[in-house]
Amino acid sequence: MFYRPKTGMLAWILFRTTGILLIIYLAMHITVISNLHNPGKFNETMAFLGSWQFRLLEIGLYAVVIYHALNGVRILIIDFWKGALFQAKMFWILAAIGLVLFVAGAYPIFTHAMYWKHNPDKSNYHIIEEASIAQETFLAGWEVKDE
Amino acid sequence: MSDRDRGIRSGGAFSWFFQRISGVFLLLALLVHFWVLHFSAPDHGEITFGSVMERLNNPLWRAFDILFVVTAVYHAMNGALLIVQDYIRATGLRMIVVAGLWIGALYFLIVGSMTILGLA
Repeated sequence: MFYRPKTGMLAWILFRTTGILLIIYLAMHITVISNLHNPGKFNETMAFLGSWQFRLLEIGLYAVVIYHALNGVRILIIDFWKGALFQAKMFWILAAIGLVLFVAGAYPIFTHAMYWKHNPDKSNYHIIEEASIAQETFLAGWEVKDE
Repeated sequence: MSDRDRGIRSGGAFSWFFQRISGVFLLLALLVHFWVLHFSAPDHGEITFGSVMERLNNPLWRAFDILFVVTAVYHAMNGALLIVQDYIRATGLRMIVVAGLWIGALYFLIVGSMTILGLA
């Protein structure tokens, strides 16, 4: 009496789940960045979000993005070409490509994470003087009331 | 009463087609975004206020980022609507949830764009 899960169904469930996760992440991403309108606050928050623990979490985000993007490509091939004839096969081919992309991208993120784990004292986040100058240049073209 | 009046009409061809168009754009934009902010970022991927402002001083980057946030919010909103259409059949509840989604989408659209323009 049980519905036997097939590749297409698995692809769909994962697509929807990663989509919901990405909506939540996008909302957080915009909210956090919108609150970083002065150099001190920005660097303070980034020192926290740029810690090695958060960098490891970013690898998870990268995996979610890769899945959603590659299955999106699979859907494009199904909708605009004759992909429906080989959608299950395509799922596993794209899974292999995704694995390669994941390793290739996770490696630099991981090495950055390990660098900051072992050299937390080398961070530049406490230097906000240069940042202030850059902000003044950036805001020069915009009329902004100073808070 | 038509399906449209009862709020249970599906997204239609426009929603379907532009979810694909925006998806293709997001795929390409994310490649750039990840490359610039994570993979090729100097100083072991340390993103400082200075480095971000330096990039945003270029109006082309600002235009790219605004297009990026508008497309991302549109794609997310359209995806959320799709899920609502699938699971919420009760008209009243659906109207409330869709209204909430619209408010959320407009909020993130405005806040995201204003951040990039340096007004937020």
